[in-house]
Amino acid sequence: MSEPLTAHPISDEMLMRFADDDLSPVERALVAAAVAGDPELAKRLEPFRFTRDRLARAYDVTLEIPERLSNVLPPTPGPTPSGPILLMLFLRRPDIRRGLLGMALLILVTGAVGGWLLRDRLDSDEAGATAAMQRALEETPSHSTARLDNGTSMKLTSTFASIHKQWCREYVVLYANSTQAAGLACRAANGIWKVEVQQDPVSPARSSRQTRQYEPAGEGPSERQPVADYRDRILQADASQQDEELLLARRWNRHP
Amino acid sequence: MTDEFRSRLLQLIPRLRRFAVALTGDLDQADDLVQETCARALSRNTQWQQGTRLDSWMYRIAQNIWLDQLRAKKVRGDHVDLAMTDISGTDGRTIVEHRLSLADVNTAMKRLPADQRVLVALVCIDGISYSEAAAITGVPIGTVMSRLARARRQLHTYLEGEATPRLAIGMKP
Repeated sequence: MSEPLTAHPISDEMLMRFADDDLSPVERALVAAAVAGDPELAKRLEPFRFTRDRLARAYDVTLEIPERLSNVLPPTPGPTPSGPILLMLFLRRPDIRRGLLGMALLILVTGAVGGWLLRDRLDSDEAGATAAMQRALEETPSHSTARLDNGTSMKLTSTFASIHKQWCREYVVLYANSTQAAGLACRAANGIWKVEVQQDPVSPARSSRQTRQYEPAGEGPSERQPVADYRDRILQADASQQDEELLLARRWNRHP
Repeated sequence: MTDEFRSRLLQLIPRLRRFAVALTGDLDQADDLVQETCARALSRNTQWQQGTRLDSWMYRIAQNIWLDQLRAKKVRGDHVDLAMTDISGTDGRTIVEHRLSLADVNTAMKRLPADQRVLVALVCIDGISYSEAAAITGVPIGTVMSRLARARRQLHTYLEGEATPRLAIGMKP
């Protein structure tokens, strides 16, 4: 995909690569300048931006578990021993009814996603916020607040690239009882945000004194805030506001 | 089958489900497709080579199953899934917006040829690279790009350039 940009008219394929962030920096700058100065070119670019953004986002809801099935889930989803078991069960029962198969699959999806996301970090009270947290992390600019549920909201505070080649974000969860908890999540290659570290909820006045210490393997207790401490350990480079805007628009489809 | 294979397969299921919805335009059919894809992947897990992308391998399986199903039921036509509008979530306002656009987008996607629908699902929705999409579909990268550009122009026309197409239940697209 390193075809050089020449003096030839800009093709639709080139515009598509521009929309998909597939051009070299030089090619990108040239196409950006051409589009800025040519309304007809900008009009030809629009279908590619549209399908990359609005169309793609329409499918995000299919990553979530339908609420109508939430009651069939165990109250405290574990790290999914149920997932493989259910998978094997329905694979052994090819004659099982279609409706039950669909339900079993959705339970499996719930177990896999819920267990993987929550692991042992979030308690059952926080489990319901996970899908909304995913959306907030995926779509909310820094210094903005997204409403989760049950009176809980989430304020995004920063975005940065980690040494593990992931995009990571710091946030503060604001609970209805006025407590709050700082946290840090990183986006895995499969597009799922994973909470790396999160404080126990504390009142704002006490938020500077951490109640649960995060201690990476091989490290002694830290006296600093665990979120900031962990951030320092994995920070590669902060994302500028412009970088973040591009990441949100491109659905994070850009390597750190 | 290793625990790692099983674990990675489970992690892929949400993306696989989204891919399946994009192909089939129907939640029930999508879940059936995911189930069959997982069953086939588990039964053939020794064919997957360590160090290669599991997601691409799974997408290739799903695509092949779906294309086989399309060929098998070609004479029966297709239908629009009313249940597609019954997706719920945690944020009422946002979900309503997503729900409506998902129904519209699925209707528009169904107007595309199958090969173009696969490419849109891989590149636009999942963010797969052109070269990886070429490997998954088995067509040259130049063909991938020309088909994809055509499909995206068409979708934009369907969804923005004309009244949103709506199909009657049981009506063949």
